[in-house]
Amino acid sequence: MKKYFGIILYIGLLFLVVFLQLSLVNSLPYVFSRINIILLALILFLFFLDFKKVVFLALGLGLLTDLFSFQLFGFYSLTLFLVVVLADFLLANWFTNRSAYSFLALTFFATLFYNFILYFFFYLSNFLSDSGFFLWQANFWQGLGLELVWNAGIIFLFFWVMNLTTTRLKPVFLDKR
Amino acid sequence: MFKNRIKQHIKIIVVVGLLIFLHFIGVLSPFEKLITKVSQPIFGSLYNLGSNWRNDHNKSVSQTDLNTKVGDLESQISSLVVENARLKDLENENQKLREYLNFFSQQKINYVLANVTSQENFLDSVKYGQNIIINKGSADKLIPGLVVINGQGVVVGKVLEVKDNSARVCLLVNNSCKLAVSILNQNRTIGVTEGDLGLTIKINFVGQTEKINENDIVATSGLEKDIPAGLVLGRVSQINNNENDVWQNVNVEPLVNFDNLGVVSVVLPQS
Repeated sequence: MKKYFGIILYIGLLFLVVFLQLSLVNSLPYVFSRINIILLALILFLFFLDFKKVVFLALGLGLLTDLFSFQLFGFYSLTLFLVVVLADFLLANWFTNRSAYSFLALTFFATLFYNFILYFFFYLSNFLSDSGFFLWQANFWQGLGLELVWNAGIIFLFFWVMNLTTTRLKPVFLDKR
Repeated sequence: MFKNRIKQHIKIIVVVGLLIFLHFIGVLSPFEKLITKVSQPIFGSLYNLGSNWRNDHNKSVSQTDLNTKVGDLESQISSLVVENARLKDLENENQKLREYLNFFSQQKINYVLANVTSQENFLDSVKYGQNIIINKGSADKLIPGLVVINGQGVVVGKVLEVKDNSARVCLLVNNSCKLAVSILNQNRTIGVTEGDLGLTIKINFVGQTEKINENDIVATSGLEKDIPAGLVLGRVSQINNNENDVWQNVNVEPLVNFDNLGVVSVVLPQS
């Protein structure tokens, strides 16, 4: 019973994250619209849940986003899956403790991975119709910079608040492999 | 451990691939429709919340701009009052003539009302962005290329893509959103609009011989399939005509606030 309740809770959470991102955050003024709730949720999942659960949650987020998006179906799912795999690799090998630095570094790399992979997919799908490569566009870098600042800021704030209330995030080596 | 992970990843990729395949062959379609339908009201209300915030934000940012604009508008009012009186006269005359000719020219436009549910938001937004998603799609007879207007009948954009219960609409300020228009000057100059940096609209390839004035109204020309003529989209704000150029560039100021689009109408083709 508890297991099913947990699954329903996770599904509800996924819907909430996707709703907030696609309809609320995207319609905010430009500066605020660069907050990436989907990615923030994924980073937090990576820190608090085991890898298998995170992969399923990432796929859930990806499939829901794909469903409401007008891009080729599967782009978001594949991107989020790849981000989770790469981020997990970094977590297991480099950022082995739960310090603020690990949080911030992981946020930084996950944001870069997410945007590079996603926009590369977009570029491939628009290859014939588009002339410009996304990396040569000032808007892309401006948006990415803003997204990095927002994501890092929110994660840092989250870390700080959590650190006040719990000892779970004190530097502890996690990798028991 | 590493091998196990690889195996796990391959399994997941297969599952995702299967889901994508099922999507494309339409097996998932009923579930997708259900989820889309159920979630649209939530999308709509959350979008309105964000849109209102953006509107307030933009108002506060442009307070100084507004003060200067108030001065300009006050000077425009007096000339508009005179013009309005003249147009009323013309309207009366026109009505009488129509009665005499027994001519019913009032176009009956079929339209579908739609709520804006979300807005596309990409990093390179000038290229991809300025698109909105509405909650009506092919189930409501929407097809790509139809024109979208706001409550006052001013053109907002064009339908780019449709799904069963949603459609993607490019706003006129989008670089890739093109629309056949005519400038309501003496010659009824025709041209094609395209968005300019996500801020304004420009009309390219207007011949040097065309005489265009600032504040001329720009409306749809009716040369595009399924788009009726005479739907207003803006007024000419700037004309760049260097004598050495073959064409003159015309900038158009849209008459619609793209930040405040909660409900729009899609003009359906005449049956």
